[in-house]
Amino acid sequence: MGITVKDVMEKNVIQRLFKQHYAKMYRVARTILYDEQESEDVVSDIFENLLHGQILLMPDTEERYLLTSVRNMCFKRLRHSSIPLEDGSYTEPADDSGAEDERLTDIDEFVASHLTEQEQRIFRLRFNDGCSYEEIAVAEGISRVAVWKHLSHALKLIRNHFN
Amino acid sequence: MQEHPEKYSDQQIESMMDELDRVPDVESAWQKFSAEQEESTESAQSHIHTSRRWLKVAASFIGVLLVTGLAFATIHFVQRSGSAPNSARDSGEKAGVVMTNRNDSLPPQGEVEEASIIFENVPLDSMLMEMASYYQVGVEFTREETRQLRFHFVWKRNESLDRVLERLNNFKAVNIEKSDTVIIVE
Repeated sequence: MGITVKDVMEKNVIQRLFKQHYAKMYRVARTILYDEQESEDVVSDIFENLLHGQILLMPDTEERYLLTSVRNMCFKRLRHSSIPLEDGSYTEPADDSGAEDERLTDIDEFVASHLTEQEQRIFRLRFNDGCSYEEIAVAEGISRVAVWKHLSHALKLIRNHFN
Repeated sequence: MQEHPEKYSDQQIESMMDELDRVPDVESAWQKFSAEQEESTESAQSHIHTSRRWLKVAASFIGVLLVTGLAFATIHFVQRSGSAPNSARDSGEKAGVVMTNRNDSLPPQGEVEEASIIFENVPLDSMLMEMASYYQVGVEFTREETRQLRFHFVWKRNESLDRVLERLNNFKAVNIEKSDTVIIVE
């Protein structure tokens, strides 16, 4: 069993991406899923897909791509699983997976059309940029609790719309 | 909590945010991911090696079956060819066919030969010379014209010379006697 140069290069690239972006990706996953193991699994799946896939990431867009992938995969998992929410309720599994991909790509469009401008900024800072609650609070000039509440409202609308 | 933040205190929300923003152990996560990928690769290669090993075993088995089948067919074919009926044996004369109903593998002289030799329109001198050789005696003809007389005679080789000559004397055309080691034809 030999290791080709191609394998080494690809694994090195994956390692760099992993160590550079894992923290933010994990944060995004936990924001939607809460569960630690589920969140680890989602992030691992993303990198495994990169390792075995044909996707070539550009340096200036790789973070955006990775974080958006995590976000979409988390919403997909919520649609197809019975992960309990924080309040003990369960999401119902989706029954029309045929239109799923289309719906996931409409998240940005939905956010743009259904959230307030501040909610849109907070949503993008959290899920597109992977910012912490503290960083968002500083950027918006509001408290962390206010950030939490705006995000809660956005996620609730998205879940209700796509589920 | 995210669905209904109003049900929770700010302190509880702050605690949840601290938890969600906790920086993970990236190095440990990478080691775990890397180990899982190596394990997955080894498992896949092991499965491929196992599959290839089974394919080799199956191919070898099929090869042995083919060779065995060919060998069996060859042996069967040779055996069937070996039991084919004998063709007629030429006595050396212009006419006359000597046929036997025995196997080609003649027993050595001196041994009892149960097979019969059919002389079909064979000259007497050829027939008697064949017999004389078998019984290890000589042949003399008193009349030349007797040599060319043709007979249809079944020679039973398990019979004694005296018995054979007795049967030949049933033919009125000849008179055959034996004197010690010589057959005399009159």
